[in-house]
Amino acid sequence: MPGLSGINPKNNGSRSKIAPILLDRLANFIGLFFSSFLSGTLVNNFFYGGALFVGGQLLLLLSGILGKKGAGIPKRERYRYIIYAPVIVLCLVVLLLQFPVEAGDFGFLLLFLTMQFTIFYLFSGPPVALFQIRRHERILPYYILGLLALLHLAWGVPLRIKLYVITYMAIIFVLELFQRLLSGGSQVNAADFEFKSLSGMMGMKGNSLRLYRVMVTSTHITLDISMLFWCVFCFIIP
Amino acid sequence: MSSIWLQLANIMLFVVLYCLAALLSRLILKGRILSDLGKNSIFMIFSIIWIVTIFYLYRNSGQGSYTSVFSYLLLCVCLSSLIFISFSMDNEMRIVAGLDGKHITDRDYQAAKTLLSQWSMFFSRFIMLLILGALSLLIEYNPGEMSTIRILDRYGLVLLPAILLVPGSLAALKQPLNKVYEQKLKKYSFLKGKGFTNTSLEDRLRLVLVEKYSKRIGILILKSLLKPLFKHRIIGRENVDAESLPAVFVCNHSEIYGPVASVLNMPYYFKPWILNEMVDINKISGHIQQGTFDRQKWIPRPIRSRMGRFAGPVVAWMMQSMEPIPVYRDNGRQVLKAIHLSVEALEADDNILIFPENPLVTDGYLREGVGEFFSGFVNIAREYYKKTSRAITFYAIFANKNERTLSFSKGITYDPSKPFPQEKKRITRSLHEMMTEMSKGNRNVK
Repeated sequence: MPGLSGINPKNNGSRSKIAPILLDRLANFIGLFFSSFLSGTLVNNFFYGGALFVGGQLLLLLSGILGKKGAGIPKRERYRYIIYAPVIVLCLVVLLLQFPVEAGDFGFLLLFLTMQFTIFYLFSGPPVALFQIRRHERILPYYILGLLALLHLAWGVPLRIKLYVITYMAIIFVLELFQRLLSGGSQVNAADFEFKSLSGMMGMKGNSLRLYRVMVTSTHITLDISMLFWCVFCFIIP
Repeated sequence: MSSIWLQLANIMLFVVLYCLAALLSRLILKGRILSDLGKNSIFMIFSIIWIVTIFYLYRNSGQGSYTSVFSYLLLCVCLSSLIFISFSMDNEMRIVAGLDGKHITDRDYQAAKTLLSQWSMFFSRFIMLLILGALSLLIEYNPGEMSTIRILDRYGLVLLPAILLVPGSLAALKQPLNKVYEQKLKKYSFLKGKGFTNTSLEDRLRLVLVEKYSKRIGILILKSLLKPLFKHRIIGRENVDAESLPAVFVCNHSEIYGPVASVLNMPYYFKPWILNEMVDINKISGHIQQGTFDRQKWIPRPIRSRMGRFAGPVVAWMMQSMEPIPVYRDNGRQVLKAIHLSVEALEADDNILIFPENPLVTDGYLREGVGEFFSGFVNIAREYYKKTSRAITFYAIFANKNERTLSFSKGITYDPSKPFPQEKKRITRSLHEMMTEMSKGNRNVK
């Protein structure tokens, strides 16, 4: 019986697809974990860092989809994201304006988060990688922000926090490096897809395919949320 | 608050667990036991394990035992397994996308898949932003609210993901792409790759996987409930050449026992021949009243006389759920239709299950032993050969009530070089003899 030979990544050649995604998700969870922990250490609020980290990721995703990078995405698909964009921006504005800035080392926390986005952007995780058009002039602000955070790290924080951040950076660097090695450094651009075929594909109502889409979406959302919960709440579980 | 090094150790443990889980899930998915299930079934199994484990963690959170580490490992195994499975289903889904009649390249499919993944990632993070944002402000302005947050944490860890997994599990339950259709898709793809076309197979795949098709979940549940009660030992499975399937299986009736035992225990996918009166909701009540309930003299007459009317619709639903080939005894043209449908089913890689005993000779089906056979079913072999130039094989099955066994005989293959009337007699007689031998307990019937 042929059975599940297709599941074996060696057989179906999907190793190159699965491994980078698993590594990328792991990198995201670790990023959230460190953000939450650092937030708890610096401003005595575990959730704050986690919320900002998640909000930042959403902004990166939105910029990838709604900006020029996402020109290949069908309009109907893009509208779906537009509905959520104001809520996300509002949430982040409320978080940044309502939070008492005098609490702990608020500035460093923000810099740390900025540095993370720099890292994620530079390493081009899947959320922004698919429709990304790489241009050096666009990356420059991220380099500057990252450099600022590093300078602050070098002089402005206690040793244990330095060690902590350096460990985090080392882990993320290794993970992202592996991810890039396994994915073969290949990037797929919007120009590679024909708008019509992609649009037709998204609108397909094949019985099995439709159920498969529900299965995949539901599983990804569920697993993401449970892992994110675990990452943030493991600090307060007694 | 735990020390920074303890938290780092936690992370390292998490990373190690994650990598270990990815390796374990690959090993598990390669396992022989799981190979017998479809990807869809495995998906459901891992979803259930995942929910149970997270419930266990909820009940035992904070106890910090080895079982917690094991639970985390199990969660990670489920996570990576579900991702592996969803990716491996990609191969089948690409073929399904092609069945829809649109020209879709691999890159198109990959793009659509990435958009899907992107959306799920976006949505999960959006929910998290709302929750974490609310909690962070709650803590900031009400520092004493940690107890509320702990409750939220424990319920949140269980309830929210469990609720979100429900649509996925339901979709997996309704997903028509089971093990049988995985194999059909594989065969279809193989044939297409070689430049052959199999219209019957393609039509069947399109009907089930692309067009509106509702999977009979009720009958699956009913079968799962009844199977332990009618568990039969399979004898002579080695007699069936799995590589040369599809085939025609011929089983004894023994009143209602043969059909029930074979339907519940057959190790191969099949389409049964069922009398039209049993499938037609307008005719079934009268048919089972006369053929079954009126003969049960031990049931009080007032109850007995109404049983057909009540049981009829349920039995008709069960019969229709098996997607049978309806058979007409008294209508020559309709008999030909049954043969034609059987040939189409065989072409679509389905086996056929027939109960050929003639109840008219013995005034109803025999309780023990094997009654005389109708011989019209052998026409399938001739028509199938005409259409495909392939000789079909017949296997006799005997469902033994006393020993609780389902025995398979050696196959009898149709020989197109001989005159058909002669072959018809030979096949019918041989199948009857083998079935009779098996009914007497001879398990090595040749």
